[in-house]
Amino acid sequence: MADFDFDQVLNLEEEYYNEGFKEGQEFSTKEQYIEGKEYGYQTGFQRFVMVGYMKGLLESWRELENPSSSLENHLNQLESLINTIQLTNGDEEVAIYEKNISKARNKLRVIATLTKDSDKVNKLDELVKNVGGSLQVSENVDDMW
Amino acid sequence: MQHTDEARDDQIRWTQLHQYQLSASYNPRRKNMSCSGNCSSSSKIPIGVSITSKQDPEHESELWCDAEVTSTNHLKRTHIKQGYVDGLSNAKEASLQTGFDDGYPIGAQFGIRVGSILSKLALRGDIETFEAAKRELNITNMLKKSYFNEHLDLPEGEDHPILSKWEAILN
Repeated sequence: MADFDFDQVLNLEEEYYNEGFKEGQEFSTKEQYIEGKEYGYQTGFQRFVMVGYMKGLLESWRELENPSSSLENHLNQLESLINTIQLTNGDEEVAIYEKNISKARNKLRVIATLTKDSDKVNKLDELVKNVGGSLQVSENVDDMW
Repeated sequence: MQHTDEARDDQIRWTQLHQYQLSASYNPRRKNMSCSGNCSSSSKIPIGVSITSKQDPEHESELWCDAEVTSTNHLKRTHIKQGYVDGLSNAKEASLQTGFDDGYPIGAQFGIRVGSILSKLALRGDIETFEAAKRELNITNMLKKSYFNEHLDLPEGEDHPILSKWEAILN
């Protein structure tokens, strides 16, 4: 006790504090990352069901025999709109997504009229909402993240 | 651009908003939170207690010695704990956004495959099958925790079972 060094105790205090701080920070950082990832999954899913639906229709329409040149033209345009949409969440990619998705939807309507598939695209919004959920809805919160 | 930036802002704001809602209500990981460090487990029983109970003057020097250890342990515990608590509320800022950006393209790929399956079934006109697919491919079902590992990835080398099931049905 005679050699009690006050500075040493203060240093120790700081060292312990920093040790705890680092652990706490690592824990919550990891936790936040996972939470972010969950919402990334959800948002990506919700935003791209529509893209997939269009892709599927496009592929099926490509198999139609003897398409008119007008139909082929529309299909080409739809294809290029869909194919330039990228999956990442960067500023530019999201901008392209927004722009292309609305153009592609109009194109889809035109084509569906030509192929008599309007009933497959009329309720697309409803379908996307049903499958992808509205942003916050989850039927079974305990089961899903 | 303006419009898009706004949409993006909304998206991020949405993410943050929900993060807070989650913290308040549902967060299984937080429930299971256990201190992986030694902030509380290092010395649950103060070492000094057993010594002082001996009440033996012969052991005085030993008692003093242990009292010192105890106070050092107490100091350690207190400061590590305080640091831990402060560290918890100081998560590195980018982590939420990084997680979001990592999850987004994977979710997008799921979404594309789901949409594609549904459109092809819709064209076939088999309403019963279409409705069954719609139910199974629902986001609630698709993003069930049990399909993913602790990093929220599908197990290495495995495809999402619901997607592979329905793609097989289509072919």
